[in-house]
Amino acid sequence: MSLRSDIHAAMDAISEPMPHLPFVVRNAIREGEPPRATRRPSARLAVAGIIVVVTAAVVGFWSLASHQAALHGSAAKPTARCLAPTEDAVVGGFRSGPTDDGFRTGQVDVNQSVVVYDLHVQQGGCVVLDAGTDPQGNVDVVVVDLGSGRRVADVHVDGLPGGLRALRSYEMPMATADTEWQVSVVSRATHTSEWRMQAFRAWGPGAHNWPVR
Amino acid sequence: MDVIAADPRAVADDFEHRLEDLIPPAYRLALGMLQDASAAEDAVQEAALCAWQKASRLRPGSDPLPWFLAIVANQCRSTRRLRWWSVLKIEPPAAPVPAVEDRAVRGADLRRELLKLSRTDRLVVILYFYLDMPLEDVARIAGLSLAGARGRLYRAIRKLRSGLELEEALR
Repeated sequence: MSLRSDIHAAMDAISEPMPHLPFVVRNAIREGEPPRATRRPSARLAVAGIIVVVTAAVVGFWSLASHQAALHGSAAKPTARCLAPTEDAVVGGFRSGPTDDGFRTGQVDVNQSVVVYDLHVQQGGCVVLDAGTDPQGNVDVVVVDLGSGRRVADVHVDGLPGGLRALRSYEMPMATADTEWQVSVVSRATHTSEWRMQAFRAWGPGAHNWPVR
Repeated sequence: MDVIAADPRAVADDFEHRLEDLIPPAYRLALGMLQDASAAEDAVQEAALCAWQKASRLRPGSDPLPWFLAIVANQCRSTRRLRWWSVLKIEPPAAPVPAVEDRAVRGADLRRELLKLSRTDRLVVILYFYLDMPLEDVARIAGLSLAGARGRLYRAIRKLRSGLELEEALR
């Protein structure tokens, strides 16, 4: 066998038929941002534009910070919490998102864990998770199969700079039988950490994901 | 000097119509780069949305495939940066049937070797060997000169098949 055929065989072994993909992509496109009339500026103009924007941002930020310091004395306090979705979160519990975005939010204290989802998973199905934590926090997201008592997945989520962000979990294994999975958040930080999470059901990797409400 | 593109909506509509032909090679490229079917699917979706929004930059009458594959390659690079990429798989893989075991092991070894290549080398190998693209298109998609693409391909072949003659490997 040639290298070419070896590579074809190796990659085809992990490939899955994706007959739905063109339709999914087309739907995603139709729900996406409409295309804008674009001009292609020369590279020099683009660089000049970037410099102007960055300079304006730095000057604006500096003047805003000076203004805040003048108003509140030496210690400038943040004007807004970066974690608005979790304002009414309770320690040790969770709330559904304030909007209809499907996220559950909450806080975990030191050495604390919170059960976020109890999910019935059918044989061949799997769960996909989006999760994030506040910039200082870090948590483990643990998925346990209550039927067998085994950990299905154990994922560490670092605190992300710049605020709360969602990350997608790939490669969750498929359930080998109809079973119950429990998804928990476990604190690894030395202080209370805020988190948010959303779960989706999927019928096998690559299938359409259905949000869990 | 500014270049005013064609009517963006018309170009985007045209691009949408061509998607059916573009998606299979895009998926194969993403699969080769990421080696995960669902991640590859997500990368293709993201890339398609990105390409559709930028479709007005495509020259009328030009082949959209190399341009689209370059966007897919960039999307794959972003995907691999995500922290959750490395979710642990706890369930052991099913035991392979003995008759196909050798082939399965060889395939797994080769995929592992491909992942060890640098991103650009892997891109060149996947485009050339898995998507069967000519080296000129490979160079264009990877943003390399023809000589640069050829050099990377030869170097990758030596890493993947150290004992193989280049002419034999390039078949």
